[in-house]
Order: sequence, then structure tokens, then C-alpha cells
Amino acid sequence: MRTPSHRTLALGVLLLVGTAASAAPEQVHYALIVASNTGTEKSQAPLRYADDDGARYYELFAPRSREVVLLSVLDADTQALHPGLAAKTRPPTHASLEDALRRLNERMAQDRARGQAPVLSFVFVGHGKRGAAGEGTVSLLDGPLTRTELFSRVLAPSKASFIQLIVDACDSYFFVHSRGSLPVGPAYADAVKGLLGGRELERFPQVGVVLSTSSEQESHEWSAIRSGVFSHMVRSALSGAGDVNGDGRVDYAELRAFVAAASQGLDDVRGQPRVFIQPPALDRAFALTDMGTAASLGYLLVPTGLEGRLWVEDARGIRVVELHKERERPLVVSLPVGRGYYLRGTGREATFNLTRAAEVVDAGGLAWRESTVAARGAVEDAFRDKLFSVPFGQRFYRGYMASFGITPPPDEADASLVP
Amino acid sequence: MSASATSLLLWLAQGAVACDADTRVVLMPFERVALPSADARALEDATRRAVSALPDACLESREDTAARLRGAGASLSSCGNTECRSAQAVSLGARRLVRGVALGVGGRRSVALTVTDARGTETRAQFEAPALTPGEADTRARQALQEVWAPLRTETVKQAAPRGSRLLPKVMMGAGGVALAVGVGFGIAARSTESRVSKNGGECASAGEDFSGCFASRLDAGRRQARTSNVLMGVGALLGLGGAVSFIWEWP
Repeated sequence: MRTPSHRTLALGVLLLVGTAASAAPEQVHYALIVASNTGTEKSQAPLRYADDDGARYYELFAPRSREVVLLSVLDADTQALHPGLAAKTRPPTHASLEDALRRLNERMAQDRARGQAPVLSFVFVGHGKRGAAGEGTVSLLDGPLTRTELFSRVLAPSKASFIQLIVDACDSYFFVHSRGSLPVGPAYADAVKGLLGGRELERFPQVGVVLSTSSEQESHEWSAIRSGVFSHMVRSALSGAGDVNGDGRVDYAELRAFVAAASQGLDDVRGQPRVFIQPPALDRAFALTDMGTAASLGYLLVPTGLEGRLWVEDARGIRVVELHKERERPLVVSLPVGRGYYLRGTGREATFNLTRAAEVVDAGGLAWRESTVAARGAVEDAFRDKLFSVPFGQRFYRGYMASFGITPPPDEADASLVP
Repeated sequence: MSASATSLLLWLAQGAVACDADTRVVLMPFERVALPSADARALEDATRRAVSALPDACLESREDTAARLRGAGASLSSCGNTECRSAQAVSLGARRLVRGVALGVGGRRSVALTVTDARGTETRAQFEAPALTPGEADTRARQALQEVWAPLRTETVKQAAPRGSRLLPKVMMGAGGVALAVGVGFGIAARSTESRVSKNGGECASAGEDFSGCFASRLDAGRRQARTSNVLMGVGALLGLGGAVSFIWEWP
């Protein structure tokens, strides 16, 4: 028998080293969610669904994360809808935030030592305000968290390789039950600067930002989804509805286009979302979510041919995902397992179950029947009819990106026809 | 024989066999979600091999399908229901249309298949294909397709049945009729023998001393005829009844 020569062995070692060097480090995910209904000032009326949003962000991130921390005081309704979750929460105070950040940073430092790339999603849902000095704050239970503190306590000391900052402050809610007057707040660019400060953000190229920037004086609630509309859009997109090119990943550009499509039908100025979505400068193609990685999730395949406004409600009546799908492409949305769901469209619905991780249900094979859900009332007609009224797909995405002078990479769809 | 020569022979053999409208299968290029195009193509090829192995499938080559799709402009219009997809199968001159979505979600590779029959039925199946196990995709694709194909083949047999197997009741009833007719003939002959023997001995009256032997012989002949008649009529009745039952059983 011939033994391999030294040259062959050296080549093998080089190949192994090369393969290891070219492989991207494994990403491990963490999420820290702060959701508070109450504001720090008397003029700030309590929110109704910030805690619901916190709970749903928890359910979104938990199956794909190593650890998720929820700082929130869930109200009675939310605790009833999410049994067992209250025991896992801690109050949204400065001390709890400090403690959670310290623990997560310890774990992420260990991950880095192992050669992994920790990714932290920091989510805030609640009241926001711009102070007299122009510095933005968000409300914790025992006082405001200022922009300066966000940078000095959350971003600067973080051991995460990438941070996804998602902020849905109270003034970004577009609810049906309007409170306050028409927006008189700062202009779009000023609002962004007020909360984050453009220059300061440049010092953190590993941070991507998803930010609602609507006026603080306008507040809406949409009881049909028991949620802020902006957060509902974000969660829908991250569940897979925002994956316009079928690569299983939702990046910042896709999220931005998804939110634009979902809210395009809202012609009322109060309903127009003002969002600031910016990828990490370090990697502008960084994905907020990747359905290709293993997770404790099931998947609903919405095949080519099935089109229109669709939404998935779970057995609790919670609208988990909403979208307006183009006919010409398949789409997959990820959903927590171990529960029953309704896939609903206008006037029809179909039921399905996801019982185990990685299970795929083909919506094309579901038995549809006439919907038994009644309209909830005239006051919600605007949102019911106009939100998600525009199909989201390649056509919208390309047009939307072209409006910014950006040409998306060519679609690979035609490549499948190459013999 | 080299692999390339074998492939060439297989290709020529496939080309030589003309697909008719009852056996032609068109497998559309797979769509994909969360999977690189090379992986999706590998899963499509595994499915293609599984379809080719089905006994009643004459699979159109990928090149021909791709050429036809390109010729159709972009792609065939996306259908939202089974009727539309069946019409697509008809327009492609195919008995069955196989579509698939190759998925790479949840860290696993899988395929969601839809098989549409030109006659209006549709079935769906899925299979997982572990990336690290060579050949596993072919096995899983075969199993999944067998699930999908079986109902369609059953339907084919059911629809084809009236043409061939309704011969059986006709044969049975025909044979029964003949048996009855012959049985009646034997019955008449037996009755004739009986009447002849009953009239003063009939032919045996002139037999003299052999009368008893002649009479016994004629009597036996009459009995044989009567027995044959009874048996034939019984068999004829049974065949007729069986034919009627099988005729009703095979009524479409």
C-alpha cells in the first residue's frame, strides 16, 4: 500500500486550514426586550399594547435564540394570553436592565472565546420623548433611559459581534383609536437625530437600526391585532414575509421595503409610518433573520399561485404574521410549534397545526372554507382595508429600491431554467 | 461499457420512445426558498430520477421543458387552483405536471411536491433530504412520489376498466346462453326418446326376444339425455347469473 507523500499531506492540511478560514463564524443569537406601557411623565397616557408587543417579540426571538430576556410588567390580559411568561419577566427598571446586560455580555464574551459570533437584538417598545435639549429618551419604569445611556450602557460595552436595535416608541403607534392631534413633532431627519444621533451611531459600525420615528403627539391603537402596527409589520417581516428574494434571509433593505409596502395604502398622514432602517455599516447585507438555520420553529409554505392579503392567527386569536403576497413566488413564514393556526384571507380561512420543529405545512393543500370572523367595527375599517393593501414582492421591491437609486442584485429565478 | 456510452444509450432510448398524452409527464424546474440554487437543482434531479423510474411515466427532458417555458415568454402563468393547473398540463400535452419547491428552512433540506393530473385531480407530498447522505434524496423522492402517484394510477385503472374487463360478463352470458340452448336440445331429445319408448315399446316392439335388452338400452339413452340436459341448463343458468352479476359490478 502506498502511503501519502509529505506533499499530499501538506496539501490536505492547507485545504483544511483554508476551509476553516473561509467559513464564517457560527452566529448565536440573544435578545433583550424592554416593553413598558407606562411613561415617566404625567402627560404620557399609559399604552395598552406595549406589553403585548414585548411578549410577542419574546415569542419571535425565543425559538431562534440562546437566551431571551423580557423586561416588562404584563397586564392581566397579556398574562392570560401568554401563560407562564410572566414568571420569566423582570420589571423594566434600570437595575434589571443593567443586570440583564451584564449577564448577556458574560455569555457573549464566552461565545467569542469559542470563535462564535454573538448577535444581540435589543428591542424597546414603549413611550419615547425628545427632551428640551434635543436628546431622545425612552421610558423605563423608574425613569427615562437617555440616548447617552443607550450608547454608554448598552452599545459601547456590548460583547456582541452585531447588534440589532429595534425601537418602537409610543409615538410610532398608528392606532385606530386616535389620541392627540396631527403630528407637529420634529421633521423626519431631526427625529432620527434626536433619538440616536447620526454621528454617534457611526462609531458603532456593528449596530443596525430599525426605528419608528413618528411624532410623539400622535398615538393609535389597533385592537384587532392587540399590538403596535409598526411592531406588527416588523415581526411579520422577520417571520419570513419580508423575504422577497427567496434566500430565506430578511435583510434591512427588505424590511424597509416591506414596511413601505404594508403601509402604502394608508393615505391618512397620521397613519403614515416614519421609519429609519439602517443596516450595520460593517456588513450592509447583514440579515435580521435567517430561516435557513436550525430553530425550534415550524414553517408554512405559501406556494406560487396563492396571492392576496393573508394573515396567520394562532389558536389564541393572536395575529402572528400578516402579508400581502404576490402570486408569482413562493413564500415561507416561520411559526412557533406546538399549536394550531388559522390561515386567513378575505372571507376565507383554513386551519393547520405545527407539531414539531422543522415541520413544513404546504398552504396549497389546506382545505379552505368561508371565514367565520366578523368585521369588528366601522372605526377600524381604515386599517382593516388599507393596511397591507399593496402586494409585496419583486415588483414592489425593485421599484422601491430604484426610488433610492439602488439596483438590487439580479433575480436568480430565470437561472432555474438554465439546462 | 463506459458510463458515458451508457448515458448515450439511455438518452437515445428515451428519445426513441415517443411519449403519448396518457403517459407524458412534465416536471417543472423547482422553485426554491432558503436554499442555494445548486442544492435545489440536486433535489430536482433526484425527483426527476424518481419520476423516470415510475412504470407509467414518460418524463420530458429538462432541456425540452426549459425550452418550452422560455418559448412561452417568461413562465407559465401562476395558477391559483387545481383547474387552472390541470389546464396547464393539457396545454403542455402532458398527462401529469410535477411541481416542486426546494426548501432549506430550519437547517434541513426538503421538497414540497405537487402532482397535477390533466384530468383534474391533484395530490401533494413532501420529503426531506439530508444533505450529508448521498443517495438518500433519491430514496426519499421515490417514496414520496409513490405516495403521490398511487392514487392517480388507481384512477387510471378504474377509468380504463370498462374498455377491457367488461368482456367477461359478455363471455359468461354468451356461454350460459349456449349451455341453455344445448340443454334444451338434450331435453327435447330425452322427451322424444321417452315418448317413443312409451308407445308399446317403440322401436323395440319388433325386437322379439331382445325386447328387454333393447328397452333397457333406450331407457338408459333417454336418461343420459335428460341428465345432460339438466346439467347443461344448470350450468347455463349459473353462467347467465354470473354474467349478469359481473355486468352490474363493472357498471361505471
